[in-house]
Amino acid sequence: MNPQKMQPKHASSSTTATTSSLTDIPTRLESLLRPRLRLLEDGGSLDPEQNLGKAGLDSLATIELLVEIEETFETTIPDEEIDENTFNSLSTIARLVERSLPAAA
Amino acid sequence: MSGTPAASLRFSVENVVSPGAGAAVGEIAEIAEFLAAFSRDGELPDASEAERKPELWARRLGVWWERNPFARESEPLGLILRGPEGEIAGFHGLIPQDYVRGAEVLPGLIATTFFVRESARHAALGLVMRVKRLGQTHHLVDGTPSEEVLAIWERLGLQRAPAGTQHYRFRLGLRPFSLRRLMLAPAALLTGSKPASSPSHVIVDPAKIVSVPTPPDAKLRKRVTPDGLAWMLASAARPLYFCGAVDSNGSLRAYFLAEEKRKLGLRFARILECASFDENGSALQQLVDFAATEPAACGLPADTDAVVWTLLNPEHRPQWRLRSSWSTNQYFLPPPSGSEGAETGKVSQPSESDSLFV
Repeated sequence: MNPQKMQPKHASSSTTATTSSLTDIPTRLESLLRPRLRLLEDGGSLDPEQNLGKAGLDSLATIELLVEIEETFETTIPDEEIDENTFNSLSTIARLVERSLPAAA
Repeated sequence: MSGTPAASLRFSVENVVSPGAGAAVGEIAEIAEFLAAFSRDGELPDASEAERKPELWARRLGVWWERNPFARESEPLGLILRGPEGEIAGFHGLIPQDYVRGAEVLPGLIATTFFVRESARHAALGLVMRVKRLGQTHHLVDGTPSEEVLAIWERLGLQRAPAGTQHYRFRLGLRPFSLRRLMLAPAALLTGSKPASSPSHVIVDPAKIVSVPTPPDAKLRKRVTPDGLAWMLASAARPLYFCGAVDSNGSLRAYFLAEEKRKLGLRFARILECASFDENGSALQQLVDFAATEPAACGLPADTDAVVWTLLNPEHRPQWRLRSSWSTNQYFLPPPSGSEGAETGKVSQPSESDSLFV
């Protein structure tokens, strides 16, 4: 196995944007998540620790979400970082994204 | 083969890479045993008796990888999902197949055999994302996705190949009067039974090809090589026929690969892939017309009643009047949008699938 390093796809172009948007991660993630949470009431609040499975995030939506996260944040989430707990809650995903961005390197 | 079983209490994804001496034998045996056990344990619906035995899978893996001329050392051959104890919990097979866009050669992978244990489904996301990453460097094709796998491919952005058309040309042949001949007469009259002119040099062995020209356009399509054609002919699970037209220097002008089908007591030759290396496709049209009227001269069974030409991208529509629509379950991931020539389109073929080999 050849572990991938956590690194952005375009490090030079994304560094500035990433630094300024680190604090936005939860907000931006929430906008990606909401359409996939079938069981969350319209307009209802999303607690950062809320279990996303119980809110309606299924496995296929998780694939779609992961693809969108990588595109939105211009990063690559290493395969070995992905496990059954990764998508437990907004906060677990946010921590994963933060770790993958260059500011965390 | 490479990869170290996971030591932690986590699942991990490994690439299966090109066979390297003795290590490959062990890993192929391990994968074959996993696939057989998966079938035996009822996780593969409608598994055949043969699929419950590792011998069949070892043979298939050999066809996909060991005898495949596109399986170069650098090519990924599959992905393994390993469980916490290092056991195989999932497998996704990949059959290397080169593609071309004009003179540019692009590596491709035909997807096959996506098996993940029910108990490990929660850990399959890493496997799926590894496939997505391969799509950044390879052209990915799946001709036989299950419903579950298709749902995943759609989320990864794979596109369905266009629906095609099947064109039929019947022939009466020289057999004595019979009910069969009576049945064929209207179809032969309708689709044209007049003899076609013979291409100058017809070959039925790809080893006779001296050179393969660059395709006349920049569309993405399967790469044609004598080795690749020979591998398909030798590896197909059912009889497959090659017929080509070459010029006096042995340069390929057109070819087709066909399989035999029987229906209503009639014998069909169904074209699974073909190409013409001239601008207007006339070399291929002439070759297929000739095969439909003189099948034995093209290596097809002499009593072939009809040629069925399935075209997914009808660049050169044959002038055969009997036709029907044909839909495919073939999906592919287009090359990355940023790459040069990504918008030139693709010529899909029914043969882009693992179904020939199983």
